[in-house]
Amino acid sequence: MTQGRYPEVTGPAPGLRFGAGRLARFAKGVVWLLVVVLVAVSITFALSRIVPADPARLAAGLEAGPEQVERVRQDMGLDDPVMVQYVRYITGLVRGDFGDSIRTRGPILDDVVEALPASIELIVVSFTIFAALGILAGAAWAYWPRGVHAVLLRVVAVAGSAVPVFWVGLLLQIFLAARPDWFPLVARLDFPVAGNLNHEAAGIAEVTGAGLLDALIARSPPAMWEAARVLFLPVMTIVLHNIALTIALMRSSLADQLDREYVRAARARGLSEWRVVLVDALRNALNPVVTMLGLQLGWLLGGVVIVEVIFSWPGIGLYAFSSFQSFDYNAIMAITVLATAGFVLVNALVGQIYPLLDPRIKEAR
Amino acid sequence: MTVAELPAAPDTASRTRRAGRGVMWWSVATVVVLAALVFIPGLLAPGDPYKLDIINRFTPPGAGNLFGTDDSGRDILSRVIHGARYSIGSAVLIITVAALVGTIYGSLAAWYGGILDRLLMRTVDVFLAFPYLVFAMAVAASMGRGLTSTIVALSLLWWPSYARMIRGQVKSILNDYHIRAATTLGAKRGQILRWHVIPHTYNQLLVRFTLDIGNALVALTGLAFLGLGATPPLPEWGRMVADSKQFALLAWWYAVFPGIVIFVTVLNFVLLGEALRKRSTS
Repeated sequence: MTQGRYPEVTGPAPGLRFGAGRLARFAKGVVWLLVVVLVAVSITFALSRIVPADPARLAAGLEAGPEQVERVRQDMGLDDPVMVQYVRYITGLVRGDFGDSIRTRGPILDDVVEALPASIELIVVSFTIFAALGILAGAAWAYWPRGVHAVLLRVVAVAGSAVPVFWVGLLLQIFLAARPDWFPLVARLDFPVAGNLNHEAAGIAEVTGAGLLDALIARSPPAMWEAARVLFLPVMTIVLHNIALTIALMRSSLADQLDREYVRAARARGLSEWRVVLVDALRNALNPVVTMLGLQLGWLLGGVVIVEVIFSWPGIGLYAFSSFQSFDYNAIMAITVLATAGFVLVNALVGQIYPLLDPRIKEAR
Repeated sequence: MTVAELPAAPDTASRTRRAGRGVMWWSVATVVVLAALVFIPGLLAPGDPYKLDIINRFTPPGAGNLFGTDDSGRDILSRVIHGARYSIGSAVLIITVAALVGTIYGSLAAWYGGILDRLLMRTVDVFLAFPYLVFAMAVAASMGRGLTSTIVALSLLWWPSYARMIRGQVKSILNDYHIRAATTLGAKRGQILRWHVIPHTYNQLLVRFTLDIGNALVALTGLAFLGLGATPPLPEWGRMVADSKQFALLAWWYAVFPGIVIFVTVLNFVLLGEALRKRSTS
């Protein structure tokens, strides 16, 4: 969630002043990524030093006496000067070592790798659905601006963006999963259980960890049905919220293009209506929408936390939440760093899509 | 959670403008009501938001308790009314801090230009490149749970977007003729900035400010839902929805009503912001 009305594309100005070609741009992107991540690491590291809870105390456990806590403190290197700890942490990161989780007592990277597929599944499915539906609905609204659908879409566009995600998730659970039990009560509201597809119960092997994909690999229609059912409510929660912005922006962007002279000229030349709208106008209209979709994808990296917590979806968001709950500052730092890197990377990738839509951007670079 | 830009209806008819004015008055009236909730909740609430009444826990909405009661028998309507102070008040505080810091920062960058400008704006870029929710969680968690740390965390993350907006505006205003005229007439730098530049940013600032109160409310209640916000007895809205989670099957009203209030409040600020935008651009 950026806060503005128009999406703000962050990152270095796309190579306009340094027209030295692709390689230079790539190098600049990498440097930018490193700078942002380094700042993120530094801030989270500083924050982790003011955490009210004593990490050594947490790691030693409740029954540990003062001497044991002291020993754990030395083992964890918490006695060393802060700068030494900072440098040690950075060098660890460079080697791909995020440290151990205080809560699960294993390497954080392993935990993250285990949780990642579930999150990616949730994000990819939701993103695909709201991007596709949003573009279609917004385009239809722009082309046929009057009618019942226009009123409906306006309601969705306004209400969808104002409604709090966690509340929608809760309502969907109460009214679709609990009363008429149409959908599995993924998070038993009072009694959280693993929300993702239960591989054993569905009788399929766990290959990727993403339920839908595993069911596809196992070629088991019942498992696919079950995986889709489990996915439905969390996906719907994300879609309801995010589709609002896509619809609104797509509508205003395409409506703006349809007003332009070139559209009138193309029509006057006798080109077919479909060609004019779908090929010429839509292509131009997609540009700002793609920017915003990229930002929303980046936002989902963080926003998925709330949805995963409501539905007990065993992904990276739930892992982050559990880490916050138990003041597991190693894990908090790792997730913040990874999320920041992911956010910057997504933004950079979006930057690569523009030239495909608008060749002038490539020339300008 | 960005709030959508309200698409303008086909703006041919004056019908739209009249509708827009209707929305504006409606929103202003609601803001007055909300302000009353923030400042004089004691006069408006039917009961004591903290009074426990275990025997009457989970009373469904009815004549005695319009919104029903919660797991400790407290009146949900009274709690929602008293909660406005914490929820809306915090949102306004966050955005005020962010707008103030951002305005000063952005105008300095635009005014001095050169290396300082680039340095300052690069810093802003770095801040904007952080995934905000994760960062807010990290900040709030490290400062200890509580409303204050959440307010600090969100203010820290919100000012860069204002800095960027104001810098852009000030830069373009500085090129205007009236600034050259003022310079020629010998106005001092501070005077120009204070009297001839900043006032021209108020319009957009107000629009942004209004929209962002809604955004901040969504962010704040979202964090409160994750347990990073107001601590238990306080009737903060996000916290109430969070508390209702475990009783959702037992008492639907507990989750529904505080949520509706958040939704309506956010919606109202969005509509008001859009109405203001339309007025300032037309």
